[in-house]
Amino acid sequence: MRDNILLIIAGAALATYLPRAIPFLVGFPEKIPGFLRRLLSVMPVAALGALIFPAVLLSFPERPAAGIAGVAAAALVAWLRGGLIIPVLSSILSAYVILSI
Amino acid sequence: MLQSSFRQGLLQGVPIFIGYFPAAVAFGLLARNGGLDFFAVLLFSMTNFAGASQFLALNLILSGAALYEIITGVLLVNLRYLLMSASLRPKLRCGFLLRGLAAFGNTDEVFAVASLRGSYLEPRYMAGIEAVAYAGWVSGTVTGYLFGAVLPGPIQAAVGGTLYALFAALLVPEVKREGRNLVVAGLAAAINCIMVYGVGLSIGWSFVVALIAAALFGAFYIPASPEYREAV
Repeated sequence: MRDNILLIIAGAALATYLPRAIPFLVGFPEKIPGFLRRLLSVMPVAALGALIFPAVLLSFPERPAAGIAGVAAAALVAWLRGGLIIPVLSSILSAYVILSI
Repeated sequence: MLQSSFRQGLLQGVPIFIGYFPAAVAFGLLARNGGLDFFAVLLFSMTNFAGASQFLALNLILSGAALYEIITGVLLVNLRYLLMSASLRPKLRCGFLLRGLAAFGNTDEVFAVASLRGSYLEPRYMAGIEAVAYAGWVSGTVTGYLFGAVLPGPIQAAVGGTLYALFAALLVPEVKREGRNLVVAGLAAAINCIMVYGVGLSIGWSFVVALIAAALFGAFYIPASPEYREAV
């Protein structure tokens, strides 16, 4: 387990550093071909969707509703007033309320 | 002048610190509850310095995914940095080593703030903003690992959902900017759920499949709104 975890951490570090560094170090065309740019530009949004579901349901196995309430509260507050901190705090609060009922 | 660009960087890093800290607390707490030892968790945050991909990797580790599944998932989540770094590159005028160092701290939030800066990006400015952001991420991780367990049970459980709240709060402005993004995100979420619950694929591969399928479909089959098409 221990060796494996260090290998995972090192691999993940590399898989994070390289995409950040390659354009800085060896140059990356600023004018990326249209199809690639379109694909890369929707990638973060697709990633966010797939990161939220179904993981949020799995992370509250006893009461998935708490996960949904938390995400919904964060989205609502982010929509109304933007930012990251208040939406996150609202989500903790609403998940807490559902979990304590 | 040089001195003041470092200070500007430090000051502009403060909101990032405040945003990273609770997310990193959640990371430290989740990792501890998942049975990782302190040294590994600290090393994780110190060497990766990445929000979404660290949580993804942690989820995959805890669900027993294989090494190559984890690395593939992390790499895919991080491909977006190619675009971000490529767009910052012309504003960086410093040597190879400093550029290599600046790349390490080019997180989403650092990028967002730095790219709004009109002038070119002095190395000292980048050092300032990245140092503060890094301090927030690492100190939050340590705090979450060491002290997260003193929180009452339901609050601990609720904090476990912090990450998803953070993702949702990052997604909302993208959806406001471009309605198509909601369809892409929803599609990715739906495919991922079907793969996990229906097909029974491991969460590592299902993430990879959902991400690629939704991005391909979104990029080529869902028309962007006219204003957005002009912006890109």
